[in-house]
Amino acid sequence: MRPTPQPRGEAPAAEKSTKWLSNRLLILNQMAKSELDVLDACFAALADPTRRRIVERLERGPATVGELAEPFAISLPAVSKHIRVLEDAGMVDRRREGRVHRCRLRPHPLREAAAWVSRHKRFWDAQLDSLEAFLADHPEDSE
Amino acid sequence: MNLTRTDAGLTLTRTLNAPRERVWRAWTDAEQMKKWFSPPGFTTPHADVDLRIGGAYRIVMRAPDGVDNVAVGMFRVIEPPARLAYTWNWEDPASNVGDTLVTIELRDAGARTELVLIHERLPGKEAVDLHADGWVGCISSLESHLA
Repeated sequence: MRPTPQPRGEAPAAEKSTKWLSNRLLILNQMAKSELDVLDACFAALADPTRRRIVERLERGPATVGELAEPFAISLPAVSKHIRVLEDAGMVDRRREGRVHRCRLRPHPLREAAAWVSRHKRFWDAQLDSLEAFLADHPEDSE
Repeated sequence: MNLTRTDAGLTLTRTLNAPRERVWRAWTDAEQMKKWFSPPGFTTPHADVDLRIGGAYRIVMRAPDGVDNVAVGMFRVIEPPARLAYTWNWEDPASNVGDTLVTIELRDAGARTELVLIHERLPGKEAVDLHADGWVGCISSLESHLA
């Protein structure tokens, strides 16, 4: 069911906060299922604090598995498992270089996740602005 | 690329000048939602709300130029006046974002309320496997239908 545009009337002056919202809320350029899967995998990967710290470390530059494991009390194989989750989410590239495995961040999924967060934050902020104004004008339930 | 609160998706906190029972009613009564649910500059010409676990909602948000954006979903957690959670997606298949979960937590701050809004993506294949106790209730009643 596509939205049908209503006839244009006198539109109220666009507020600063709505300039970006225009006629489509949260314009997503019709994300394909595969792109949504990437987003889901990325968020699921970032749901773990160890993996978040691994990502933060890799944002500063590539690192070997050993270097990534250093800050953590957990075993090397356990860290390797976390890296595997990040690889499966397309967020990290692990490559053998001589005797070590070097990991690099792949920026695309994180950029998509950050864009998702940023878009939705603006939307919810605007909605909560609206709620605040409503509660100020209607301290009691009745009109 | 500094992601904040990526452990759950995103989180916003706002202190509202109303007690939480008042906020709860604003957030769950369809007639009140029509007055604020869309962002500023938009209107909400229709709001259907079936407030029960597994109940559906459908909210039409009309942009200043008249184009409608329809949000749809199902309630997963209803714990007045503290916690409300519902799935969130767009009705238009072209805007499908998959099932996502919005959780509203209302914390008592006397005459004011601290509101925490969490918006998370739900991994498609694990959509049934997640937090809300309400969803477990849905599944078990489905199972009894199939038995």
